[in-house]
Amino acid sequence: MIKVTDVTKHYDNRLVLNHVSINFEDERTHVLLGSSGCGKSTLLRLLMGLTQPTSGTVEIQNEKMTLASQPSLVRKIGYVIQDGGLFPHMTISDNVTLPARTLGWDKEKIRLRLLDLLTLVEFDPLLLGRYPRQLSGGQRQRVGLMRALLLNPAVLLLDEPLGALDHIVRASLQNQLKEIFNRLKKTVILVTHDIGEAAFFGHTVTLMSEGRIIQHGPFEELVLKPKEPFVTEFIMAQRPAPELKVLL
Amino acid sequence: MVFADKPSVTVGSKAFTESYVLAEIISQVLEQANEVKVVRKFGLGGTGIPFEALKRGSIDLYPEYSGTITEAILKTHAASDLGEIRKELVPLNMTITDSLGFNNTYALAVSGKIAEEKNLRDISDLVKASDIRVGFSHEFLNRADGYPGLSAKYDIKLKNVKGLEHSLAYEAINRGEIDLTDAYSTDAKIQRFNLKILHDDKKFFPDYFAVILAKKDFPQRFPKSWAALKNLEGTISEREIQELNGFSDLDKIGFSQIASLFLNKKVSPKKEDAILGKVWVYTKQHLALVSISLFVSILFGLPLGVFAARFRRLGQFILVISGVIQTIPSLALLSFFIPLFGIGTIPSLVALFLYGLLPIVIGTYTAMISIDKGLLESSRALGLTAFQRLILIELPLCSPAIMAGIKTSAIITIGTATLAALIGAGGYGTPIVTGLALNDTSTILQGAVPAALMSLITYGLFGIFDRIIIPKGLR
Repeated sequence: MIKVTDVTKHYDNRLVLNHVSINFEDERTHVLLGSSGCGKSTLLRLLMGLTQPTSGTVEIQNEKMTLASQPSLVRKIGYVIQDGGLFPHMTISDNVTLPARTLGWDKEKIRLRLLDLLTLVEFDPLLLGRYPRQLSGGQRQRVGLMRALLLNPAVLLLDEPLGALDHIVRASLQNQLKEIFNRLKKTVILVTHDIGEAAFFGHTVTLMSEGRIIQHGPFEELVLKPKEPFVTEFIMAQRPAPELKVLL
Repeated sequence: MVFADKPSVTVGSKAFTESYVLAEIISQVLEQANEVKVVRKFGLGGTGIPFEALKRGSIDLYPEYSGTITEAILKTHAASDLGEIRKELVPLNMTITDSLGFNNTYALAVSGKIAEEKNLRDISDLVKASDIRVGFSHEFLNRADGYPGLSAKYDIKLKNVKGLEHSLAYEAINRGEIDLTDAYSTDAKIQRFNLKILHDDKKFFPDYFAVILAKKDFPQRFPKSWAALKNLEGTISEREIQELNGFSDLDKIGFSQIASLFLNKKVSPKKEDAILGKVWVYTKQHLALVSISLFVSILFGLPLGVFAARFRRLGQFILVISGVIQTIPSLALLSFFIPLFGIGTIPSLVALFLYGLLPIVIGTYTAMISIDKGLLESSRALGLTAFQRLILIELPLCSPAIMAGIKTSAIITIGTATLAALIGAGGYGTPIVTGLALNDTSTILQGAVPAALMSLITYGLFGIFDRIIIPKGLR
């Protein structure tokens, strides 16, 4: 369980998160939804311990995230950002295996784990010696995913993972990602501003606006029982997919 | 070695012909006395450098002038008698010989043509020609017994005065670029360039008798050598020194030959070292100066750059300090360290190290603060410790900028190291300083060409270093 309790976050004097409390259940896929600047990425960064809350607490599996616990706690979390966040000076293979190498895994263990991951995300082993700039956006995103999964973390956080990809690549990667999430039974939190993606991935969807959580629940609940008019407004603002029209 | 058990004595000189000639004569006299082993540290810039070196004990003696001692060293105007000067030098732990025989006073030399046109004979005559073009040496422009005092005594304000390197002044007059310069009365070029010495009608210039300035205990420690040096007293006339200066300036004879010519009245059979051999020695000295100081610059510059990027407030301070060091003129920085470290290699290394610092600090700092924020977050999200992030991520990402900084630093150091010769550290500056003193282009080129080559080769080598150090993904 990931527990966020009464978290407030200021950047300088700007209020970014306003008394946010929410629990994310294990082994489910949760989507943080909202337009840019609503605080969803900040919430994700707080979960990673990349920034500390002004007040309130974040707990990952009953352990409090602090500056001191971050480096070890973060190994329970895989993190994927837009365009992969790959290091340009390292080969693909070095990028993926970096966390294991810093932990002192032996070569054979690293090799076997890498083979597993290559199969899982369907990545061409011939590309392992290349550098990030020599890959396509979709390939880079797969590499980012492999790196996030390397230490077999219980939690996987993804910040707009498909944001930089074109539609066709995006659609195929969406299907693949969903399959991986279901197979691995990870606690997944995915940030997006795209309604379709939220509906496609989320066991629960959390709609945020101006640093507050507006509604948290299954997507159908947001559509059928909106807590505020804003929920419907937000959903209608993006042209819904045909299958959603039935629900509306 | 046969001479290994003999104590060594270091002879210094300033960086102009007559000082080289006298220092070489002194050295050969000492060698003939056969009591000490002679080390030559010639061409040590202006008055301040050899004097400080003597005070520190980095050299044991050098040729100096009585007027310079009273004005520039003792800073009194009273003592003009050599016996009195000797007394005043006691607290400084120094002593002098009697006059070597000639008075090399300052003089104003004007081009013969202008002298005729404007009817100039005495310095007083300049009142009616205050608009002529004047090129004074920097030392003359600033010394109390130079232009400032002259201008007050004669009540003359020359309107068109600029500072230039003394050895270039005669050429400048000859080419008609200036009309008047300060000169030494023993300069061989005065006749050669058909210049006229203006008569010092108000007796402004003090006497500048050539003497040997030495540590006070020198006569006791090396009585035989001192006696031999005392034998030089009164032996060099003005005519003779002009001639000796001319051998060097005009006939391009080496100092050691000129000195033996004077001492033995015959040309010494000793051959000058071959150019290639000399250049090789300079190359080794220069390489040592550059590589050691560059290594230390990297050793300090890299951590300072990283530190400045981590702690921005303090970092600004580091950047400003290293920037300020860069603006200090190189010669000033070099002489600044003489009271602390004496002359020679150590103060040169310290000055070169400081000069080399800025490009490395700036390169590292700028690269560190411009690393993509997303990559920094990725590395933290992977659970890397601060040290692992620095070594595995940040420094490799910064390596192209850091290497560029080191390359700039190397090129700057190769250039600046030529000035180290002025404080006796050798290197390519040695022929450049000597050549400037002699106004001899071919000697200057013996240092300038290899220095330029070294820069080019360094540039090429960095192409290779870059390939080794910068990760392939960033090239």
